[in-house]
Amino acid sequence: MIHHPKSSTDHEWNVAIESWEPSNSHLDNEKLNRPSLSYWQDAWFRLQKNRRALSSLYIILVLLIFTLLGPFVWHQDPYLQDLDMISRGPMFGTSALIVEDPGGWQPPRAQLQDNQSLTTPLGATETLSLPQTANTQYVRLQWESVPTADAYLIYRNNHAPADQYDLGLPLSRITDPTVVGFQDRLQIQPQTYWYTVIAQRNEVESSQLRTIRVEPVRAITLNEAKLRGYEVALDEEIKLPAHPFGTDYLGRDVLARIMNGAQISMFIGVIAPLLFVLIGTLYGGIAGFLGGNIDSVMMRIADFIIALPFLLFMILFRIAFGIGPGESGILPILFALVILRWPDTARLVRGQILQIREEPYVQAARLLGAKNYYIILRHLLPNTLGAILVTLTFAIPMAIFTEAFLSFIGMGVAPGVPSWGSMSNEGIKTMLSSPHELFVPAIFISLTVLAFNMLGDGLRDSLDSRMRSRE
Amino acid sequence: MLSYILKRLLLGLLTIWFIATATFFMMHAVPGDPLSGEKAMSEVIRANLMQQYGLDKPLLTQYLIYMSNMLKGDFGISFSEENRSVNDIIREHFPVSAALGLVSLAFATMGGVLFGSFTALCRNRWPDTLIMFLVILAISVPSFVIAAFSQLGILNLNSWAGTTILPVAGLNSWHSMLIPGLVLGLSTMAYMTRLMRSSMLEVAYTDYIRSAKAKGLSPARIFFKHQLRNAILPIITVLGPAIAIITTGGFVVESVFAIPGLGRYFVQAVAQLDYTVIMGTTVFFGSFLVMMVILVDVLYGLVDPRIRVGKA
Amino acid sequence: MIYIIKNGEAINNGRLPVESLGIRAIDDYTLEVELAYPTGYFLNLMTFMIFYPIREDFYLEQNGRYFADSQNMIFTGPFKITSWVHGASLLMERNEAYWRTQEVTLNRINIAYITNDAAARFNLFKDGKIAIEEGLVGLGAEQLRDALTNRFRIKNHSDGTLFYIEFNHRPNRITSNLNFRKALQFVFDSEELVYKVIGVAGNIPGVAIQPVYMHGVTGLFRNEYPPKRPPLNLTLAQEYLTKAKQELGLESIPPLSLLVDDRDIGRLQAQYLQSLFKRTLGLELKVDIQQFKIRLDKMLYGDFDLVLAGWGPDYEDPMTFTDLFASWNDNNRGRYNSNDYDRLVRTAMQTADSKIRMDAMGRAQQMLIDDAVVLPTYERVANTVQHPKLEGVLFKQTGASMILTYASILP
Repeated sequence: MIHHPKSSTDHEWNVAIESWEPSNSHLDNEKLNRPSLSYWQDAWFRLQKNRRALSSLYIILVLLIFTLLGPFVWHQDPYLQDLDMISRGPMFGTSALIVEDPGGWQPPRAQLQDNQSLTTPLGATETLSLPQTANTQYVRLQWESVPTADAYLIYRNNHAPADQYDLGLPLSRITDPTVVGFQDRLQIQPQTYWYTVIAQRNEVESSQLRTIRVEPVRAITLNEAKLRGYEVALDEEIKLPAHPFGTDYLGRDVLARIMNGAQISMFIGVIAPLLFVLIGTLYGGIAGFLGGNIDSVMMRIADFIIALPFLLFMILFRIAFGIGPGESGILPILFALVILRWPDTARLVRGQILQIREEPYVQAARLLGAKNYYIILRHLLPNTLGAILVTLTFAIPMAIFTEAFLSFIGMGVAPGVPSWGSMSNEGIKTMLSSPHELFVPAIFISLTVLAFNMLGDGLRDSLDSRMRSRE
Repeated sequence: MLSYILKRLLLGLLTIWFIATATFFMMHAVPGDPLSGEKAMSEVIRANLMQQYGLDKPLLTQYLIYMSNMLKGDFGISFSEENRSVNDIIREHFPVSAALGLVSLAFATMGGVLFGSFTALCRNRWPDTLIMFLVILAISVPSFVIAAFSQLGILNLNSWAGTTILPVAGLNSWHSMLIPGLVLGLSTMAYMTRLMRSSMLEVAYTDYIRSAKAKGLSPARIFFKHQLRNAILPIITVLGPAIAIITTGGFVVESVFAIPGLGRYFVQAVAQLDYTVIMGTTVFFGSFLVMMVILVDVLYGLVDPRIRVGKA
Repeated sequence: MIYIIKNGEAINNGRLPVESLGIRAIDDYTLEVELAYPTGYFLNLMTFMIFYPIREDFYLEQNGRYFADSQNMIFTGPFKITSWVHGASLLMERNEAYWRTQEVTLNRINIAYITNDAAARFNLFKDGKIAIEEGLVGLGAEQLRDALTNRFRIKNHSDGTLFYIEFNHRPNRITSNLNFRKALQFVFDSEELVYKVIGVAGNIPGVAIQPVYMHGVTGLFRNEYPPKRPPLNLTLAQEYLTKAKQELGLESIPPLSLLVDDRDIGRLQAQYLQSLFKRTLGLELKVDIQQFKIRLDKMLYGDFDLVLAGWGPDYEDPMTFTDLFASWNDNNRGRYNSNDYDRLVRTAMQTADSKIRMDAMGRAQQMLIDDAVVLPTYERVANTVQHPKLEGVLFKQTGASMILTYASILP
C-alpha cells in the first residue's frame, strides 16, 4: 500500500521510520469516504474550507453593508460644506460660541500728525491689542498709530517669532496710514497665534515690531447658525456635529463621503475589471488557441487598441453619450475602460494558452476527439486562471483611479460627487497637514483590493484540483 | 524565422497606419483647436493663422498632407512650444524616458521574478503574506503619493546626513535615476510579483516537475532549470507593453522628480489640443509598442521552444 | 490695441497696405509713431509684448526656428539665455549688450530644475538647491504651512491677476437679466471665498474691476475712485430673484452651467459657489469642468451661463481692465453690450487728459458693479520664499513678473 505523504514539499519526504505503523483502517480505504461531488460543488466545498478566501468574503460583505446601510445610520449629508471646519482631523462633538457676523466691521482710524520729522527713525507701535475676544471667525487687532508711517504690515505665525524674519504669514499690507486696525479671517483655528504689526515708510520696513499672542475660541457666526437651523442668540454655545473620520478641504464629513463614494468606486472598480478581463480572456483564449494568421490579426487589433490615446477617446465618448456639461457620466467611463483596457488581459491569456496548448494533456484530449470549446473551457482556461485573477485584482485600483483622474479633469462625475479615488487625489494636496484626507479613502481602496486579491487566491486554489492536497 | 519577423513588421506598419488614422480623425472631432488662447484674437488674425497652419483646408486634404509628411519622417511643428518641431521633442526627450524606463524595468523585472518566486516557495507563510500586503499597498496608493513620500524620504536623508546623498530632483547623474526609476517601476513590480507567484504555483504541480522530483533532481536544479524557465512566460508577455507604457507614461514621476522625459508631452498635448504633438507622440508610442510586442513574441520561441509562433 | 496707431485698424482688416502704417524709423535712433487719436497711456502701452521689436534679418535667418532654442534667440535685456535643455534647465548669463549692463550684479542665473510639481519645488528649496521659490502662482497653502514650520521668511506680492465670475449677457440667457445677476451679487461674499475657502494668505477679496495696485491720476485708483458695493443682503437677494423670475416668466430657474477649467482652484471655487447659491437662493449650478482649450472654445462661443474668468494686465493703465467689457473687445466673452459703457471707454481711450480719462474709468468701474456685469472674486497674491542671502528681487504685475536685474547676493 502506498502511503500518501501529508505534504509534498521535498524536505518533508523523509518520514521517520517510527511513524510507519500498520494502518488500522485498511478496510475503509477501499470505500469512497467522500460524497461524489461535481467540479463546481467540489470547488465551492474547497472555497469554504479556505480560511483566507472566507475572510475576504467577510471583508467584502462588511464593506457592502457599510456602504449600503451606512447612510441609514450615519445621517450627515456628504455634500454639506462647513467652511468653519475645513480639513479637520477626526473630531467627536465640540461646541462653538455664537458670534456676530464679521462683515460690517470698520477698522478704527487715527488722526495723522503731520508735524513729525521724516528723519526720525520709524519705530514700533506703542500698543497692540484686541478690542474684542478673539474667535475662529475673526481676530480683530488694534494699534497705536506710528508717526510718519505710510503703511502697516500684518503677520501671523504659529510659533513665537524668533527674529524679524520669522514673522510667519504676511496677511496684509495696509496702505492707508489712518487705518490702525485689522480683521483677520484667514482660516483661523482654535490654537495659539502670534500676530505682528510693523510700520512701513516708503516701502522700507521699521526694524522694530510689536507682537501679540492670541488664542481664538471656536465660534460660528449667528447668520451661519441660523442658516443651519439653530435657534440661538449671540454668545450662546451650540454643539457641532461629530466627524469620526474628520472633514475634507470644504469641511464636508469624510465618513459620509466614504459611504457615498463607495457606490461609484465599487461599481467602476469591480464591474469594469470583471467585464474587460472577461472580454480579454475570451479574446486572448480564442486567438491563442486558433493561432496562425487569425491570432496574428487578432493581436494586431489588440495593439491598435492599446495605442489609442485614452483621453481623446474619452472626450469623444462623453460627447457621443450625450453627457452634458456638469453632468455625471459614469457609464462612458465604464464603456471606455471596457473597450480600451481588455488587450492587456488578452495578450497575457493568449501567451499562456500558446504555452499550454502544447501540453501533453491537451494533445491527449485532442487526440481523444475533444471538441474545441471543451478543450478551451476545461483545459486551457482553468490553467490560466491564476494569471487572469492577478490581472483582475490589479485592475481594481486602476479602474478606481482612472475614474478619479477623469473626474478630476471634468470627464467623470460632477465635481464634488464623492468617490474614493477622487477623495484620495484631493487628499494628496494636504498630505502633510491633514493626512486623514488621503489615508481614509486609501485604506478603503486597499481593503477592497486586499479582499479581492485574497478571494482570487482562494478561488484559484479551489478551482485548481491539483492543489487539492495542499489544503 | 526571418520571414516571420518580416511578416510581423509589415503587419506592424499596417497597425501604425491604423493608429495614426484613428487618432487623426478623433483629434479633429474634439471641440476647440490649438489656436484658441487665453487672450482672444480677431477673426482676421485667426483666419491668417489657420491658413498658415493649413487648418483651413478640408479635413481629408489635411490628413493626406499629414500622412505624406509623416512618411517622410516629418511630424511637424508644435503649436504650444514656440517653433519647436515634434521630431526635436521626441529626439530630445525620448532618450531620457528610455533610460528611466530601463532602470524601472530592471527594478520591476528583477524584483518581480525574485519576490514572485520567493512568495511561491513559502506560499501562505508569513513572508508571502507580508509581500502580498506590500504589493497591495503599492497598487492601492496613487503613484504620486509614493513619489512624493520617497522624495520627502530623500530630503530627510540628506538633511540627516548633512550632504546630498541622493538628489531630491533633477537629472544630473546616474543616481538621479535610482529613486524615480524605482517609484516608476513599483506597480509593474507588484504586478509581476503576483503574476510570477501564481505562475510558479501552477508550474509546481505539472507533470514534468513531478517527474523531475521523482528523478531525484536537487531542488535548486528543479527550481532554476524547470520551474523558473516555465513560469517566466507571463512576465515576458507583459514585458512588451510594459516597456512601452513605462517609458512613455512617466508623467507623474517626471514632474515630481523634475526629469525632462517624454511623458508630460502625452498629457499636455491633449489638454492643449496640440495636434502635431498628439499625432507625433501617439504614432511614436504605437510604433514603439508594436516593436516591443514583436520582440516579445520572438522571445517566446526562445524561452519556450514548444511555442511555434506564427504557425497554427 | 494696435488700432491706436494710424491706419492700424484698416491694415488689420486688409483694407490698406502694410506700408501705410503710421510708424516710421527716421534714423537709427528715432522712431516716429503717428496715432489715430490722442492716447494718454501710449507710453505704458509700449511695454506690452505685442509692441516689442523683432529684428527682421535675425528672424529670417532662423528659418522658422525663431526662439525654438537658445541659439535661435536674440536679447536686449539684462540677461541672455546661453543654454536651454528643454523641460530640464535654463542657464542665463549677463548680457553685455544691455544698455545698463554695469548696473547688473548677477553674472549667471541657473534655472536648474523645471517642474510643475509644487511640492517637489518646495522640497528643492528646503534641500538648499534653489534660491527662490514662488510656487506655480505663489506658494500653495500646504507649502505655506511647511514654510512656517521651517521658519522661512515669507514675502508676498501681487501678481496682478484679477479673477471674477463672468455672466453670459447674450440675450437668450437667464444671466442676461439684471435682477437675476443682482440677486447673486447680494449673496456672493468674496471675503468668505478668499479667507475661508481659498485660504492662501495675502489674496485680496475682489471688490471691483480695477485691482488695488492700479494707479489713477496721482495716487492709487482705488483711493481716488472708491467702488461702492452694496452690502450683502439675503432678503434683498431673494426679492431680486423673485423679480427676475417674473420678468423671465419662469416658475423656477432651470439649472445653470458654471464653466471652469480643470485647475484645482477652479474646481474648489466651483464647488463652493454651487453650495452657496443653492443654500441661499435655491439655485442649481452645474459645474462644467473643461480642459483648457475646450473651455476657451466654449467661452468664445458663449456656451456657458457663468464662467470663472481672470485677467492679467497687459500694461500699466486701468484701461487694460476697462476695455475688457467694451462691446467690440474679443475678450469680452460674456458679450456685455452697453452703449453707455462703450462711450465711457472711448472717452478714456481717446484723450490725453489724465483726469478726464480716470473719471471716465472710475464711472465705468462703478457701472460694472451697478449692472452686476461681473462679480470680482479675488486679486491674486503670490507668496514666495527666498534664500536669506538673495536680495533685491523685484516683482511686477505686468510683463515679466520677476525682475532679477537689481538682484544681488549678500556676502
